[in-house]
Amino acid sequence: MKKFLLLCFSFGFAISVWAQDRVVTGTVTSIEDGSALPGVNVIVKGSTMGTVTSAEGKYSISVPADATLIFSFIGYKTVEAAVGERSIVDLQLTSDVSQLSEVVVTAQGIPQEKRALGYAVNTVTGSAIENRPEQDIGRLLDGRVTGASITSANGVAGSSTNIIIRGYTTVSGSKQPLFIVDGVPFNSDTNTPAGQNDAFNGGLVTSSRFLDIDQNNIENVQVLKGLSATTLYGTQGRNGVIIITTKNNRAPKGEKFEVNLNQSVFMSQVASLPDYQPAYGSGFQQNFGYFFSNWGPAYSQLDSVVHPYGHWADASLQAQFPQYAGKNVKYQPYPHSVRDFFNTGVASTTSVNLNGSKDNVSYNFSVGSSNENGFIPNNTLGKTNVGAGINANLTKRLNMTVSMNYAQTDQATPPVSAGNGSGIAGGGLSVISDVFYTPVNVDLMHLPFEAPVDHRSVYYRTGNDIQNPRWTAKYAKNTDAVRRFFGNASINFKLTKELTATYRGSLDTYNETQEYQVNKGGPQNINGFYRTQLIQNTILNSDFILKYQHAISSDLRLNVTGGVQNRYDYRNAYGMYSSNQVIFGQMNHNNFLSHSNLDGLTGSNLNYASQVRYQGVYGSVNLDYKDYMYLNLQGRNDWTSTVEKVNNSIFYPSASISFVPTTAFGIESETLNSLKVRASYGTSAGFPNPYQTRNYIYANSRPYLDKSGNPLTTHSVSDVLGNPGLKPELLSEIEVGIEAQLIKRRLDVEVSYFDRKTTNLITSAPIDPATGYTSTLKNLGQITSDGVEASIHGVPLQLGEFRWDLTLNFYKYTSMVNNLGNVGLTQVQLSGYSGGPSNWAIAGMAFNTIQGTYTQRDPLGRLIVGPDGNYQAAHDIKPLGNPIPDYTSSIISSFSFKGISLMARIDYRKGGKIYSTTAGTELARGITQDTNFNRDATFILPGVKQSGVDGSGNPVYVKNDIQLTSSDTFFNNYGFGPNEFQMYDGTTIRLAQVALSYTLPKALISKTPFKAINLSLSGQNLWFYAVNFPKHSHFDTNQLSTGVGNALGLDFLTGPSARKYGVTLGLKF
Amino acid sequence: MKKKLIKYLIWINLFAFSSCKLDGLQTNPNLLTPDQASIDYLLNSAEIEFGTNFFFQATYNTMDLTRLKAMINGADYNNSYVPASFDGVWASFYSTMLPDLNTVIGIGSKTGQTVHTGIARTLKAYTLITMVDLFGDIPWSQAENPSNFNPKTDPGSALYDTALATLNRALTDFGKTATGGYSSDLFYGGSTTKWKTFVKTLQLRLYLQKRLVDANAHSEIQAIVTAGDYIQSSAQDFVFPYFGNSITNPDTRHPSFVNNYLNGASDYMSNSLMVEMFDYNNKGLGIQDPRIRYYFYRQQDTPGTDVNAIACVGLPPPAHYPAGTAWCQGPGGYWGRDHLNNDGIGPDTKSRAVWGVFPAGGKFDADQGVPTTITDGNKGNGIWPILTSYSVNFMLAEDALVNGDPTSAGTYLQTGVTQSISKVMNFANVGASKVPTASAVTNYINQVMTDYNAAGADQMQVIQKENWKALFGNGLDMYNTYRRTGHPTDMQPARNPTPGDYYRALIYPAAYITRNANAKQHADNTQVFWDTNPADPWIF
Repeated sequence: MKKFLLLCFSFGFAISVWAQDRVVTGTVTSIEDGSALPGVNVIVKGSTMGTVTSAEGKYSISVPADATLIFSFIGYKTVEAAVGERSIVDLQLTSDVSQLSEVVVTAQGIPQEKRALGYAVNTVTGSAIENRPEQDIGRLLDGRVTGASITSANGVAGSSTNIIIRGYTTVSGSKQPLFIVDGVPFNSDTNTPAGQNDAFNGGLVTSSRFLDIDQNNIENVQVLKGLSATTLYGTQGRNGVIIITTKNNRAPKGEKFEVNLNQSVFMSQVASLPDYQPAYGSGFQQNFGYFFSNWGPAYSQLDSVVHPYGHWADASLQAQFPQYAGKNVKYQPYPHSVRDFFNTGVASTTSVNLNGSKDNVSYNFSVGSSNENGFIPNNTLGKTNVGAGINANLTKRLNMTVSMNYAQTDQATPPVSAGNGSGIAGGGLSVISDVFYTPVNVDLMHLPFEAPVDHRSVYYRTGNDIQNPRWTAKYAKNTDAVRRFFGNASINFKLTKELTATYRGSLDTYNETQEYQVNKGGPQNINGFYRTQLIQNTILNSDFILKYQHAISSDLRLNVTGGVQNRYDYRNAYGMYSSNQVIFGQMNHNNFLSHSNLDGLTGSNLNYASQVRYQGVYGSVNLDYKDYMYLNLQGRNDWTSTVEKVNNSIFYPSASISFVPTTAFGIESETLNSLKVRASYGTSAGFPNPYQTRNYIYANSRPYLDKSGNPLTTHSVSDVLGNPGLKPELLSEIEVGIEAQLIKRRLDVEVSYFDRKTTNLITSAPIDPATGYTSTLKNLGQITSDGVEASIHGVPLQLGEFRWDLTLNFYKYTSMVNNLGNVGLTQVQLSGYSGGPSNWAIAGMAFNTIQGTYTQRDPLGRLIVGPDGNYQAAHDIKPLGNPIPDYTSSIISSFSFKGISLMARIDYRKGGKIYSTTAGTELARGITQDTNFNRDATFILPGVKQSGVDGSGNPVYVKNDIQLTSSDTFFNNYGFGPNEFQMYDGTTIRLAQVALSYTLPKALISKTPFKAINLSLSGQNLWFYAVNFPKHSHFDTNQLSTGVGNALGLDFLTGPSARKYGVTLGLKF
Repeated sequence: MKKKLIKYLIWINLFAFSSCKLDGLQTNPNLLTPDQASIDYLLNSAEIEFGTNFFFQATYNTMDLTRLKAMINGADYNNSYVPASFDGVWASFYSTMLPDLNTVIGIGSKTGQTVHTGIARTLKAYTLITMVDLFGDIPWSQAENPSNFNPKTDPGSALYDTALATLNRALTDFGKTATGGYSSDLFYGGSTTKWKTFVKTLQLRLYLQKRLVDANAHSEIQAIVTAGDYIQSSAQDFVFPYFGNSITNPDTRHPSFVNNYLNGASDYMSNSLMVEMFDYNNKGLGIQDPRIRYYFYRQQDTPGTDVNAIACVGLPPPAHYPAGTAWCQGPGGYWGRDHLNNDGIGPDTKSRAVWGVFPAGGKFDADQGVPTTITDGNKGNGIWPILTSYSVNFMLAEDALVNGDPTSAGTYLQTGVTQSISKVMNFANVGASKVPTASAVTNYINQVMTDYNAAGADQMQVIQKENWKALFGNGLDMYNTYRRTGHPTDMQPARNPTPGDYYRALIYPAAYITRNANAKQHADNTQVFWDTNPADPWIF
């Protein structure tokens, strides 16, 4: 990393040279590998005279008599050398391992030592990401970045990942961070079909486009979290910036050539399988029947029952299975049906990386290929990445870098969408939603799932009206094929020793083809459909940056950066929806009877176009006083095309300060190695999505036919109220922090506190249709988020070559809705069901508060039971809980001894309410061990019932004494009753990651062509326990049925999570 | 070299910036701007929305409440509906239909397209009346105003006055010479004569609806009848047509057909309606309603026997069911559900009875006894019967009877029954097999009139029982009738003896109570302004 920075720095850090008595020359090299160090600062002590070393590490400087030279370089210990009588002073620099000397890439690629930063930055090195059983860079950062909440949609290989950095700051805007790859913007959208959050129609398997990044070609990742850290990235950076530096951009360094070859094989398994009760079969009220529910008789009470495939009402179906007609089967449990439905997934990743440098050119070439079969049947993910980069010093003043990447990602999976515990909630399909409550007496894996003649789905109900999940897995499919090119070229030109100009142009473009294929014959979409959509997304970006560095005195250094950015995003989508398949098995629009440009599931147009331009001008001034006091002032003005002209310009400044008392007061000691305090204030702005400022008319050329069969065209006033006065929302943040290194560098502590506020919130408010509109976008209200991020790293034990490292990461935040403006809105629905479980912004309450239905209470607050013995639902909704966890934390423990290292990471999440359809349904359906009790007993729900009225007509309540059967109790009340009974606390303990790695001793391989051989075993999500969920549910709290977005804490039966483990062999030669 | 390069870099950047105009990117290329809207297409949108969504939503829920269809979502009234159940009809009225209708009126008033404005005003009045009938007091004077997110309600009685005035404006419009016709009209092909007749009939209906609170109602109705311009024949009926009968896009088939013929049944039919039609009022006279084979199609023509599919089979009727009340299922495959039976959905989608040929465009029941398929019968070519000549006759019968003229009432009753049977039997070509004979029809009508003439004080019961059977497909008018007259008094009770209060108005929708700060949910037994009948348990 440090080496990589040498180059960029060599053009920036120069001070003027003055003619003096005599000339001293020399070469500066690294003590570690003897390579030349370009860009090292050489200053005559007590003066402003100085120079920097050349690309070959050589310098030449005129010095007065008795001069002392100070050699300093970012990431290395500063060395003073008395010149004496020498005319050649060669020097070796030792890298500085102290915490504050770590080099960090900040906004717009400016490298800085950590001591200079007035805000928190997380660094994750490539080695922490490589060779792990996950291809998604977002998920690989989970547990490594304090201040980020990272949630997977589910365990489907290639499914989306939601990243929220430092709490919620917007109601309706995106909260997803900006990805910067090799200095330029990278589209990371999750393109759910038709641009909608399509959780109800199979969209929960859609990838987030950062999946296209080759996880094995990453040099390092920096995560900028606060607004003062991201100012220079403009409004796009307001949600945090994930800066990924690939290996393509390494700087030239000596003569070398290296090949790295890694091969991994990983397995995945379903991790959230419930424990099934082995005592009762399907039915209701202890009567046998082929139902979803398992409230049938005990196995001991019944010998045999009708064959599940022997009692269909449809004679044409029964005729295809004459062997079962009228037959009986033994009434017995098959407790492993669901377990066996899932596979053991296998993923294989091969990556080859060639890099080297010769003369003034360094080059990198990498090829990565992954093939994964997920644990869900027919879920595959293939990735191929090719990347190449050249970094050349063309002249002493001119440097050029080029980075080019091609990514090809192909995902296929059966669809996954929201379930309601009794089928699919929307119009799509889901391979998952009904499988978890497969009746235990149905031998799912050994019964046919398709009819031999017409291939229709067959299953155990008389009406054959529920879909066999094995049929869905085989005959319904979502595919997502991405062909992506991204690359950039930049020229750095050293105008003077102090002034460098950079021009950088970049292109990120992809074609994403999504298909949703459903064959005919499944009860859910009996005639089948085929939806295809091609999404083309392009980002063109150009930057012109000037960097000026000047030593005002030997104590005070100035560093100025100014730039202009011009970004243009455009997107087109082309699609078609066909329904009514003609020939089974054929997926071609020509094989369907009906065709439309409108999505048959969501009604939205599959064809659309959008264009957005962003322009920005920015500047940054850094002052460094005696290496202990740093001041940074920044500002940026943005112009964006998504609002009307009067509102399209916004300026936002930021300032930060860093102070290092240990250097300032010279109080460094073996106990207190270093101490830094910092404070910053940052601002930013969020622009709305395009086309929200005006009113429109929806047109449909042929929604209906007249008497003669001619199409009727319709125009309709849009339900969305345009707002011409829409302005960008304003964000501001105060951040303070402390960083300390203690006890002989064995304990590092870094703590940050942030407090951010968003005003003029862009709120897409669902409004009472009585206004004439169903939603509008308004600037109203205020959200505040504050939180603490802490990272403590220690070395509790170090004996010889044995070392034990322990890291604790801690993150706690709250996000509050202070008000929703003065237009009379008191609450705004953010996601979920209307009138049912949903996330809300309610003035004075936590952002994303879950509201849902509840049971009526009497004046004393007791639950009211109706005349039938079941709880009486109230006819409205109320707040049921705050889904934001109280805190999340990770403990990473690693032991290393010689070439062996063992690492384990344990995550702990405290609190955070979850509405769980999965857990509720498992109770309602009597399927898990949690419901394995004596079911002949009756239940009386705690609460009261009405017993007439008193003299003034008010109801009188007495203790409830109405008996309910076990099936009614759980089905009507705890499982499917008012939403308040399906709310659970999300506290979870998790063994998130374990890795054992062994590097062969050099002596052993010295006679082989290999430079290094490494073997590692690793696993992730190996064990977890959500302590307040029903014990046998094994519910995984790290999943989100609403996918990528601002929602939180809603589970609609969308996901088993994955447990992964495997082995990697790494070869270097 | 150096100077050249700087020049070059600056040139690149200037070039890049000169091409980046921010203007002109604010207009959505995917939609139309308001000045591109067409009055014809806007009115098309309102008419289609009215039939396929507004009326569909309104009638489906009210058919359940009036046992024209089975109500199965709860064991009691309270748990049968959640506020979100009514989001659809609320949004259809306020945010879909009204903005389009108001835009039509705005454009048409300037251009003199009075056919358009008259139709728009008529639809506006009908939907407004319906919203009051369903919910009671609703936002109006403060509604449709984007600067007020929390419109307050207006009293239902005032909104009836507004609706009446709007209908009068529509009549004025229809009387003018328009600057252009509206040929794509789905109801009357743009005929102002027929629209005028419909408007006057709607006024008649409105007066009947508020007869309990308006002393002039009877005379106003009489004036309309005397003038003679009201719906009297099937050709004048106001029905929403589903013309399409193919599965290709656009799908314009009747929703009750699609829902029950694509992959087995999704609705449950009403046991009590089927039983009382199978054997005239369950009296054992051997008289079958001639409409039963048109209303219902049986997927099997034998009773259900599998306790898994029909959980009540073999159980005795609840103790509170009067003798002779329908229970569990009708005979011979007329397999539906009892009122407020919320048993889990058994595997019966290919077994229970479904909608027939009228009005859903399904299959005529000729004792086939096989499950439905999507190519059956009239293939979804059906209607919504919104205001028909037969139901006008039942209205006039009620008006005559409560105003002391049982003879005229009897005449209207007979005409009503006759016209209903005629409409149903002439609805589609169903072949010859099992079609009721002319004498079967005559026998039926004669029996109704015999009962009517012998009913004494119970004549309203006879009228409304027949009205109930005739209103299959239009729950809205039956829901109003039930609350206005309390008849029929022998509706099938809920299966649970204590189902709680009847919905004298529907509860307000979630979209209203959760988004409007001035909204407050009302109780299930809240009565709308024209319902001055006794409080619950008056009807059940």
